Amino acid sequence: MATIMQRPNIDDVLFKIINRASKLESAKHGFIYLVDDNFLKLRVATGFFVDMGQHQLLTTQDIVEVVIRTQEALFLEDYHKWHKRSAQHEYAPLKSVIAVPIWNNSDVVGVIGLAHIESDQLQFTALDIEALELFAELTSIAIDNIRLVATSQNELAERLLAEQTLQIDQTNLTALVENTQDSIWSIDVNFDVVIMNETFRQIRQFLYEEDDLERGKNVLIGIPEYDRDEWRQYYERALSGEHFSVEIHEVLDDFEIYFEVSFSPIIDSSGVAGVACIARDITVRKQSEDQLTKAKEAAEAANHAKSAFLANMSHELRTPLNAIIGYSEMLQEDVVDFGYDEIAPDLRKIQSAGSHLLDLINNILDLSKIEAGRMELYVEPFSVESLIQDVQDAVQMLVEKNNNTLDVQIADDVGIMNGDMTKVRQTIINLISNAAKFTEQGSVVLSAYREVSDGKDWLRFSVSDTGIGMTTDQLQEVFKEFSQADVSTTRKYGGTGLGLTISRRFCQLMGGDINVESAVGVGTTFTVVLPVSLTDTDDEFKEVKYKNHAKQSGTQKSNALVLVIDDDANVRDLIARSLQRDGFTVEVAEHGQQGLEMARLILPDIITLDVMMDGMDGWQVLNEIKSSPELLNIPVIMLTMVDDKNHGFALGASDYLTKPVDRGKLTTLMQKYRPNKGEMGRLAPDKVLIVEDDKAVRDVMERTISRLGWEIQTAENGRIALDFIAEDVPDLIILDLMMPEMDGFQFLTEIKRVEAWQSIPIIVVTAKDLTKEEQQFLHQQVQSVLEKQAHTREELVQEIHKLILSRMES
Amino acid sequence: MSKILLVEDNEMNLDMLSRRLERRGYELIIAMDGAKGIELALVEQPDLILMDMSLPVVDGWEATRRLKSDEATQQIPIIALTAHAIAGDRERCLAAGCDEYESKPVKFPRLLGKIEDILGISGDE
Repeated sequence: MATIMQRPNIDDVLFKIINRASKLESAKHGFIYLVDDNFLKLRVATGFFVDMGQHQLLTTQDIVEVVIRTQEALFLEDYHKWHKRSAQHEYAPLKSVIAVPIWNNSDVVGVIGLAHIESDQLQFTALDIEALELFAELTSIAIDNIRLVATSQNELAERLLAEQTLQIDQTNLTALVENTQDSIWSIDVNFDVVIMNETFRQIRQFLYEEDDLERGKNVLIGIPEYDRDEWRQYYERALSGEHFSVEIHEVLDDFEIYFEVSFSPIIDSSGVAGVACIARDITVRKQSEDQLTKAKEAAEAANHAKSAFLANMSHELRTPLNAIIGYSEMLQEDVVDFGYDEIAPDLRKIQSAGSHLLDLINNILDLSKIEAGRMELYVEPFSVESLIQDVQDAVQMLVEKNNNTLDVQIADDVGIMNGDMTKVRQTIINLISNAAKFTEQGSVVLSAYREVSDGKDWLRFSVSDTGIGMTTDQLQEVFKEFSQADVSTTRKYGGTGLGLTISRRFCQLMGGDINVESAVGVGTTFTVVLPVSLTDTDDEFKEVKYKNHAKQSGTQKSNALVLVIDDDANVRDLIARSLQRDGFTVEVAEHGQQGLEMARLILPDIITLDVMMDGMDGWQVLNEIKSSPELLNIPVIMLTMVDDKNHGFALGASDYLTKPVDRGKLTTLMQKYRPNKGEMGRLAPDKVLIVEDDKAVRDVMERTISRLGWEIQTAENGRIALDFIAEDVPDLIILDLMMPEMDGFQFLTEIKRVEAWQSIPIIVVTAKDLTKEEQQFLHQQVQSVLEKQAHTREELVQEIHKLILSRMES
Repeated sequence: MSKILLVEDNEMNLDMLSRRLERRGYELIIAMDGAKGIELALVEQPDLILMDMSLPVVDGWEATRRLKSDEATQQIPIIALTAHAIAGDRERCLAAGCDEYESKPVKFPRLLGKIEDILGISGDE
């Protein structure tokens, strides 16, 4: 079998076998079939079977299949007498056939067969079968051997290929690793170096002078004490399987280096086998970053300095001017008193020049601020009507100076604006004073109205006059600095020439603009257009996210978001679940601080607040809510439930004020609750009942509210108040909860008893920064109500629902 | 005759305001810093306080806060006088507890009006 070598061909071997078998048995005709992939394949054939060409398969198929199936030798004396002979082979010249299975372990992997044809005149015997079986064994062994050799040859070839590939890779890799400026190295689990590139070696030597690190040595040796632990920790981290990067800072005598080092665990079949490391020098990057940070800080410091300068200048400049203006005013008074009238005009000139100077300074400072980008916007909600009223008061005299009339037209729906009130005021006053200046014996009309444009709500303020008007050229220059028509105009009409510039910049800052139309000899109209509510349109100014309280479309109950703030888990759950069942979306908070944070985040439609919480007291939370611009318009329902006593109460106040009472806020609130809003020629004035025992506070409120045209009734305590209400139902009640003599809560519960009174809006006054005593006081009030009332939990939850629904409708 | 406590550190402003107010018939008490202002408020119990907001020792904000949280003085109305006129000043004043606010340079007739408003109503009881 020396021929079985280089590329063993199984068919060659099989052929040799079948030939020997044929010769030995003197049977000229033979075949070997092998099973290949579940298919029977004729591998070799001799004699008749070869001649048959294509038909060979057909001829022996029936024989072979039987042998495979039965796994036993087949002996046919006469093929044509065989009952299993295939019908197709009627004319095959086969006479005598023997066929045996070829075994491999316990499987039949093929069939070897011999045959005599008719003309051979020969017969097989049992001995022939035995011999054939030996040949079958031989075939089996031969097949095995060949396969074995083939496999190991394959394996050898593969291994050779792999080695070659590895060789190439290795060379490439080494080239890459050695030629990079990054340090690359790896260690095994014992911290011994497996790979290290030249850069690494050099850096090590550079950093740790005496280093003589090489492959096989411990990577930590040579690193000085103070660094070693750090490195050990990093390696250990990587060895535990973590892949990460760190920044390492090395300081040498005269400079420092920064490295970014990445550690990657090397994982093989047995787990972590080592760590692969790459270190990159990022000193330059770090330095740039440093420089950038320093530059930024310097710029910010410069900006701060500029602002401080502006603020100081403003103060410094105004102070001596105050003296000039003030004293000349005083002297004018003296002059009149002492009879030196002839001096008076000169003093007036001094005062006038001083005022003019002051205006100039104010304007220049304003402009500088705007230019420096330091002009801030203070955004808050305010009543447009109140603003206009205020403006009117301020400009009345100015308008009358030239015998002009001022006509004010405010549309019904101007409502509340969310913007920088001071700047809007300044702008409108500027426009009116200009109008008054350039008009004589004429009229100035100020009108304010709302408009929807581009899907946004706008407020328009227009100032029209019947004055001298402007030419087209003048119109073009009108907003530029110091651009009054000419010097003579300034002298004749006064002014600084900066007012319009500033006004326009203000309007633009607020997301709006000013337009102008004019005709010479006829008059001029300036129109200010501003968004009703300032939201994030411009990066230039600070904006406050604010939920527009004037919701035109009522919120669907099912969309309403309720925030429940209560420190008692049971109560919280109870309220939350029952509200959810009713279709509300509910969020909960466990204590005041969390409640505030959540409120700011989710801006709920309604907040329920437990009055008696540990930690941040409910009243404090209420205070915070009412002080936050973005939260103050969210209706709050104060309540408390005492778990074990089945007692609870809810305070459905419409709104809250804190003492000391801010007149602006009070004004805004009063506007909100004006029932006869916008009706011209109101028949009956709106009535408000103030329940307040402190005279001083009462006075402040009365003074503020009377200006707004309400009819005011005051009561010193709840009893009296209830009597008043019984006689004449007010449109609004302002109730002080802090009254020492009287139970504000008690009053509230009394009110709720009467159907006709249940819908009277109530503004409740509490105090900011409650002292311990005040807290106690409020708690006691709550306690006493709790004791008197016996609301079950269910009843209380019902109450809360009712309150929420009524808030949603307003 | 109504008593006004004027807390102002600038001498010229002090001079002008006090003289003009005295001419109108008010009795003037002067303090030139916040601490003194608090002290005098307690002792003299004025009918009104005019408080300059930028003061030495204790500034106007702090003085106002303290006066408004002390029972003995919290009912005395305070008009803040502030030179800064920065946006938000008005709110800060009201938040600190001031009853009114006047920006400098003071328009004397306007200030007078505010004083009369406050004193006139709660003046004689």
